[in-house]
Amino acid sequence: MSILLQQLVNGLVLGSVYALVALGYTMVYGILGLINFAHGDVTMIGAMVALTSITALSGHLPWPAAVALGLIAAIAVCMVLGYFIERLAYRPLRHAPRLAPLITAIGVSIILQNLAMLIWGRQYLAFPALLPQTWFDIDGARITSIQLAILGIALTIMLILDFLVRHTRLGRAMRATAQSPQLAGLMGINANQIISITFLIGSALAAVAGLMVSAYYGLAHYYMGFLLGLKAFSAAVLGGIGQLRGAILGGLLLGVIESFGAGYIGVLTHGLLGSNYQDVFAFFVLIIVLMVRPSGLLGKPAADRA
Amino acid sequence: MGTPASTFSPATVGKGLLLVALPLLLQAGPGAAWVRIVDVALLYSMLAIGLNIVVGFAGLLDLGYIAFYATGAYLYALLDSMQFNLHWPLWATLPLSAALAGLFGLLLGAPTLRLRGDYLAIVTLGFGEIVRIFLNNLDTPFNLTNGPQGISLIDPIHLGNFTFSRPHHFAGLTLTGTQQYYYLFLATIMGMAWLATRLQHSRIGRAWAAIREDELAAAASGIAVRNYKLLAFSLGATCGGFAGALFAGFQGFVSPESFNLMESVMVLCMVVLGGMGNVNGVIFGAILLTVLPEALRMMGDWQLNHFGHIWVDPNDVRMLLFGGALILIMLYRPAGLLPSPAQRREWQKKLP
Amino acid sequence: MNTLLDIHQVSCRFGGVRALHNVSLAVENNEIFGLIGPNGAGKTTLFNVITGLVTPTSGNVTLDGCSLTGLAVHDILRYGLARTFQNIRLFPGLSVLENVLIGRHSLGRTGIWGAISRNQRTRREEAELRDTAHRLLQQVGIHHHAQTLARNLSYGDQRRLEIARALASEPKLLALDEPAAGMGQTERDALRELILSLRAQRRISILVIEHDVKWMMALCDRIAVLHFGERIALDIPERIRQHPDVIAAYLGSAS
Repeated sequence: MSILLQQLVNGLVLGSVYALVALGYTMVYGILGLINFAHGDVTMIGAMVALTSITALSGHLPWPAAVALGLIAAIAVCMVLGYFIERLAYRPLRHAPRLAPLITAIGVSIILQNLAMLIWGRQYLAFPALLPQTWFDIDGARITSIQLAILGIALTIMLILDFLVRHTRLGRAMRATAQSPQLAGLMGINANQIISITFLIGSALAAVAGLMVSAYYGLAHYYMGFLLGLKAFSAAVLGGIGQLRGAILGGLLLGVIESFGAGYIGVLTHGLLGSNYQDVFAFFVLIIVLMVRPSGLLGKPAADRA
Repeated sequence: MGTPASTFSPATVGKGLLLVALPLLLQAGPGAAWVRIVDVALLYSMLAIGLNIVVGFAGLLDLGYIAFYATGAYLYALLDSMQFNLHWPLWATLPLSAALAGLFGLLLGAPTLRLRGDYLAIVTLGFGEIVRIFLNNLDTPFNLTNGPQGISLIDPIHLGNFTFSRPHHFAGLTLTGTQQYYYLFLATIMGMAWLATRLQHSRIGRAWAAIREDELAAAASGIAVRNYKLLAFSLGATCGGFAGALFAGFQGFVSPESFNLMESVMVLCMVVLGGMGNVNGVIFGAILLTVLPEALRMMGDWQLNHFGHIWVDPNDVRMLLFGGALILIMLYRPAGLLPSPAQRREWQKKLP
Repeated sequence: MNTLLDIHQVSCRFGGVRALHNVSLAVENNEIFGLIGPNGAGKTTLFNVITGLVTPTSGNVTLDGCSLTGLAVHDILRYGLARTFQNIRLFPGLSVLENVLIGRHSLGRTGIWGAISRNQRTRREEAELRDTAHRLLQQVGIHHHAQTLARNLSYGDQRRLEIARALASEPKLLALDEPAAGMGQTERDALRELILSLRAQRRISILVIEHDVKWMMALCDRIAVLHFGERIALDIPERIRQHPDVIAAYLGSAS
């Protein structure tokens, strides 16, 4: 029982990070119909910037202030990055054939990865423990302080975002633009501005997620964005791409699936496959969802037209 | 179209002679290493031709293409090495490698190709990674792939008693292994390019073009969209598997590291840079992107000679340059460096 | 005359919205049949049901005795129903000729082997294909543009090309979705002449949806009127014009 609960806790923590990244994918997809391949790498940049700033500041400032400033620096850098990625690589191609922005997105992703490699090197970097190593015991399962913090912060951010999109003017404008940029334009909404804001929000979330995932594993690496991005995208599809709540549900669910999968795959396959296959679950989830319910858990089933 | 090429104009004959003499000239001039570089460029050309069927003809973005290359390479490695002490003849391994890759293409494409095009991109991206993970881990519980060490001591490509890696004498000339591979690869590419061009200018190629242009209108014109996508996808995969088998025999060694995501991206770069949809263009792209890093390497040596220190490591900036090239080409020259006339017209889209 | 297209008690709901309710109508052989109605009357939904984009909640559509309900879009063409789109959907980056060649895809037989070997059968098929395509382009009057990119045609010519592409599949029924939308008066008149001449030359039936009631009156043999998802009238144009329900529907909706 306690192992089961432990897996659930681990899965939810991991899943809340996936959900934050998935939100970035889903918001951009909802508005532009574009898979922002560079989003995972923006997450990585967030982790790297946070790492560098925290390390640099920790000698001069009290630890919590250094962490807070590091987070702010990561958010700021990622927002600027997200803004310019959209302006330079996606916006000029908005009316080009569908393939074109997908290809520039790959280009951006490669550039970010290799820039990071030049700046921070090829090796795995140790990420400092942001919180004291304490834990709480719930019915035999152990939840560490960092896990609790990740879960708490992620859920708070999601609630705020959900409120923002559902109940504010900006949220209405975002939803209108997602429905039809032309119509939104007729109603006096500046679609370009809304798209920029979407990228800014998505990138800020990515920065937070980057810091969280690095703090959780205690590692940062220039290539970490790739797999994280792939999983987060799978989560977004699982929940129903374009749906904010879908991304959250999909993220949490994928985290739990992975955690249980990695924990039990050995038992299930009689030791044939080990936990080194953890990274393939997201992919199989993606394929199965696309086969069985391509609109995702919360998406409206669309007519399959061709 | 085939007609102008089949007339023997002096230019065609000249080009043909140059192609035949190239490995001899390279060996005599810049050295044997360059023959090998050109061989690798030819292997990439095969991949570019195959991926071009998927991306250029049918307009589907495949980001895990290298997985099919890996499939072909590993099957060849398993059937012709000491791993299981099997030494199957080429006429069996080569078609099997191509067919297995094509089958993987079918299995992957069938569930995903009925969905919007961009899902395919991400699913193939994941697939490429999955294949690598499996290759890395399938040394237990049963040693199939030998894990991260990879499979070495793969038999060189041999037809009957003719082993391509061994020097042979022809009409007073001695050809080295790499030179003989050159001719084998060149012949393969000509065959593949010919097949691809034939398909492009046929009822099938038109159906692909229609799907690329407007899927719904294509369906309303009676084209079974999903089947044609599947055909393009698995034909591309087949080419990848074929090239993979040749690669395994040529290299004598395969490991999961040769098939990472960056390799898929490289082949995509070749297709995009050379000119999507144009067979000659993508071959040009493949050769350019294989030879260019070698030129960059020389710049590293140059720095070392002049400054006594390498300030900018060409290996580090290589991928950076490729990423930048992808973006710039899409923004300013979407038809590629060497587009076909039709393709050039097609991408001349009014941008706001 | 015998029935070609039979729409039998088709109903269609989207969630709580009743888009079509028990609509029945029949298009005869060699007839030009019009479908009109105020905005939101269900014309487009009915058109999408016929062309396979929407599966009806209940009811059935048959063409020449074969049921079309539930068939994929590309199969419906094989049964003899070709369509055009309200907001023209050509293959913009391909030449005018290529667009028509693609329209004839369903009549071709060439497979992989034929394409690669370019055997005699393939060559004969290609030659036949090109001849027919050229003839079609002549028929709709844009033959001089055969090598032009579809994207570069004028709006009116794009409409004509779309019709030529649809005709290339030798349909029994040609379905035109608002073909005169966005055209000036002279273009509209020319288009009407073209549709009439196509019917005369090719002995096919034509189903037209259009907003311009006056234009439809001069084109169609019979007209059905949809209002709030129901068929409120079906008659020859002269009597449609005086039909009290139709007048009420159009006056009431003020469009």
